[in-house]
Amino acid sequence: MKYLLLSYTPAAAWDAATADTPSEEALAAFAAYQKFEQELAATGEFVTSEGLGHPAVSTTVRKSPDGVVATDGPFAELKEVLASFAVIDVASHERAVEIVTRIVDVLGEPIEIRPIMGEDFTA
Amino acid sequence: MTPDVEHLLRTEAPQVLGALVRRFGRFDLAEDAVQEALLAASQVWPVEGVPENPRSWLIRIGYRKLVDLLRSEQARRRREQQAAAADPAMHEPARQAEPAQQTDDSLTLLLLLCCHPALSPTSQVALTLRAVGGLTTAEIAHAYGTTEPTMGTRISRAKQQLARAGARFTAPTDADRDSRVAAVTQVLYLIFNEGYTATTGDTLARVDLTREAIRLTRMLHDRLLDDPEVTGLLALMLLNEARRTARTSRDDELVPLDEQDRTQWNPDLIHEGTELIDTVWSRRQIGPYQLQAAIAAVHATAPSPEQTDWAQIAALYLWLERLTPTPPVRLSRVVAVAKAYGPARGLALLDDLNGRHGLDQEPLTRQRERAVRAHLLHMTGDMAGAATLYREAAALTDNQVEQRYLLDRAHRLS
Repeated sequence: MKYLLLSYTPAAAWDAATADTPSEEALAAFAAYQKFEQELAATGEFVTSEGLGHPAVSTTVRKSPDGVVATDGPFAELKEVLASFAVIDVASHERAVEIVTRIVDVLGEPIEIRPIMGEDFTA
Repeated sequence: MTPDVEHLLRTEAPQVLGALVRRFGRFDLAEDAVQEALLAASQVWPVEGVPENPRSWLIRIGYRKLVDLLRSEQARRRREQQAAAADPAMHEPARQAEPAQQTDDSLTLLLLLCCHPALSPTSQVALTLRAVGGLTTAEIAHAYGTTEPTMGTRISRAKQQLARAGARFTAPTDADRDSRVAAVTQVLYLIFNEGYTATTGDTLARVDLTREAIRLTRMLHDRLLDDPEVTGLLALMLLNEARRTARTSRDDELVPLDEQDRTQWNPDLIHEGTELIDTVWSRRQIGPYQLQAAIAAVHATAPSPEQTDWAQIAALYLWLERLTPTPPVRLSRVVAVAKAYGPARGLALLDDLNGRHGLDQEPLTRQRERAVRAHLLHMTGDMAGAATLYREAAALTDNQVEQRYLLDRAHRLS
């Protein structure tokens, strides 16, 4: 079964002047994460993962009385914003939590696990 | 800043802008972001050296600046509690058109965007020179004989118009792609002509604009090799450019085609231009630029004015007149017919065209109509009539070089 992992980061940290110059620790943590990702790819549990652009470069499309309108910017201004996502395909929810625990332990920022509603969930 | 860095920045700028606009839309803000990235590069590179991959460096900085600009804009919007519906720039009807054919070429898309149908030709020209040509506002202002604030206003207004018209950058659909490419070629031709014959000021040719137009047209041609009119336009520009040095005398006077020193014509440009037009001609998708290039090629390959194939040129002008029935084309046909079949036939055709189309009234031709008629009268032996018309023609032009030439003609006849 598939899970969508949503990784959040504080908006303030993203905007900080230091955002583009990661610390030694951050680089080491990212390297450890990438190694783990390779492990998951080897077990067939890794599906995909991508980093996202700054929320400011997003566009929100919504329905209004005048028709469908596209607005620059995120749907809402939040303290914690979505920074990246991944999709994993695992045997159980417990396994998903186990994997995400390891990632959060390494990277430090919170991750939300959302089940993807596949065929096995339709009942 | 070394000339190398300057050149590098100028070639990379449109690529960087294209990348940002394609990905995030918002041409207006992306353009500002690129300017800031260029500024940063001009400060950092001379000190720290040019990065290994300058383009991705510029894109990264440009992206960061764009985020800053978008954030402050969004914050302002929230502060003002401005509903999205109240701001037309934020409007965009749901896209229902067929998805456009995807291409990875940011530069062509940028050119198409700058020549957006919502913009006036002057705005298209200014924006193209700024965003694709990488000229500064001051350079463009100088080239068009206007002040920097005026040109700055024109460019920022164009960006606003673009934001209002499309809000975001979308590639044209296949259906309107042809007309958009046609708009681009027209803008490039306008730039070339402005450089080739300055409409105001003291110098006949403005080297920068002609070169710039050729550079941009080459770029477009490299990317749209299958477009016969783009090829025709490039050939036309090269063939005209080949005669540039011979076109003015040492003391800046205009030298007409039949008095030009043909040894001064640039053989490389003539060779390249004729080769281009020969290749594309065989495809039989003839359009106005190809016809004009073919005419220029007949001139360029004639060993002397007397040995010019004027009958062929007259036939090409007739073809061109059918495709683009404009006053200047009609007048050019008169000249060709007179050269091929004598001044009497030329004058008869001129009278006929004046009767039906008023070339002597049209703003585009009323000055040249007099100059042409003066020349034809001169050839038939009517010296007094010719002198009067040369003077009338001189009074109707703002170009001082041309004015001196026409007055000189009148003076010699009387």
